[in-house]
This record gives sequence, C-alpha cells and structure tokens, in this order.
Amino acid sequence: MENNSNMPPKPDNYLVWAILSTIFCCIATGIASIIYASKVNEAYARGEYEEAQKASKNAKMWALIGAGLSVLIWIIYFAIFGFAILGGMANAGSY
Amino acid sequence: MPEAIKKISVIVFLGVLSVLAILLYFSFNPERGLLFPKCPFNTYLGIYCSGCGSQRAIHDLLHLRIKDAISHNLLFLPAMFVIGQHVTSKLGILKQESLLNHRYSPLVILGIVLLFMVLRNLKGFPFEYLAP
Repeated sequence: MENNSNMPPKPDNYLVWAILSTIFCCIATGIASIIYASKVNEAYARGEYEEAQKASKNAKMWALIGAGLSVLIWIIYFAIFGFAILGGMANAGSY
Repeated sequence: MPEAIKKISVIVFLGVLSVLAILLYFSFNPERGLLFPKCPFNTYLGIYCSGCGSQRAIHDLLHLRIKDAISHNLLFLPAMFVIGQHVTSKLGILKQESLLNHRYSPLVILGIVLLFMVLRNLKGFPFEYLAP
C-alpha cells in the first residue's frame, strides 16, 4: 500500500461473510473467517501479496463452510421438526 | 455465463431468500415452538456464543421492539448497522468508505466478539443482562 505502488489491489477478505456467519450460524467458522480476514489485511500491508491471496482463499473457504453449514442445519432441523409442527398446527388450528 | 448475469442471478437468489426469511421470522416467534434451530454451540456445550439470541433479535426487530432486540443480543443491531453501511458503500449509494475496509477492522471485530462471548457467560449483576 504505502511502499509498493505497483502492487495489485487488496484481495477480498470476506469480512461481511465472516460477521454474518458469526451472528447467524457458527461461532467457530465465523472466527476462523475473521482470523483469515485479518491475515489478508496484515499480509497485504506488509507487501506480501501472495500471502494475502492465500489468506483470502482461506477466508472465502471458511465463509462458504459457514454459509453451507447454516443452510444444512436449517434444512435438517426443518426436516425433523418442521413437518411435525406444521402437522400439529393444522390439527390444533392455533399456534 | 457472462459475469453480469451471474452477478444478477446471485443478487436475485439472495433477495428471494431474504424475503422468505423475513416473512418467516416476522410471522413466528423463535422463542416459542420448535420451528427454529437452536444454537448447536449452546445445545452441546451449554455456553452462550456471541450469535445466541440473534434469531429472537430478528423477530423483535421486525416488530420494532428495539429494547427486546438489544436484550436478546447486544451486538445484533450494531452488526446490522455495520453490514448496512458496508453494502450501501459498496453499491455506491453511500459516499463514505466501508467501515470494514479498515486495516484493523477484522482484529477489532474479533476482539469484540470474543469479549462479548466471555462476558455474557459470567454470572452476576451487569453480565446477566448480556445473556440472551
């Protein structure tokens, strides 16, 4: 940034996905994403572009794992309880 | 597939998903019933994580009960604000740079998340308000 004017732009650190993952799903994948996001920034600030790119790939991977896991949990959960509840609602007529 | 079409389809997909989620979380209270998944972290480890209470906070917020949303998860509203600021800044609606672009944003967020998780599991006077 400061000392290297011909460096390519900073790779995405996927910090938004890290936050979303932390709030809505899984603290573990969220924290992994946040750590890689900070690695992207630090490596880039040191001028190590390849290192930053590697961290960016990891950040993306953890973001995807977090998103996939939350969708999976939702689907499994709904498959187990959802139909029972909808059935119960239809029978009782009130919820 | 051209990049533009790919981008638009992702936006449309996320948009439809968000509308469905909003309808679901508006109509049902996650506090009652079994419809909503419980936090796996809390279920198996018995610890409140920093995301615990966010489903209830969404429901509260959609019913404009700000106080309840804060009491279920103190970080939920600030997180929504930061994400909103980031998205509007990225889309060019907001002329201000995204708060998340700062070099130390990830570390600051990591610190806040971990501190919040520790504090909300403590017993006693000020901390019990942080539990979901």
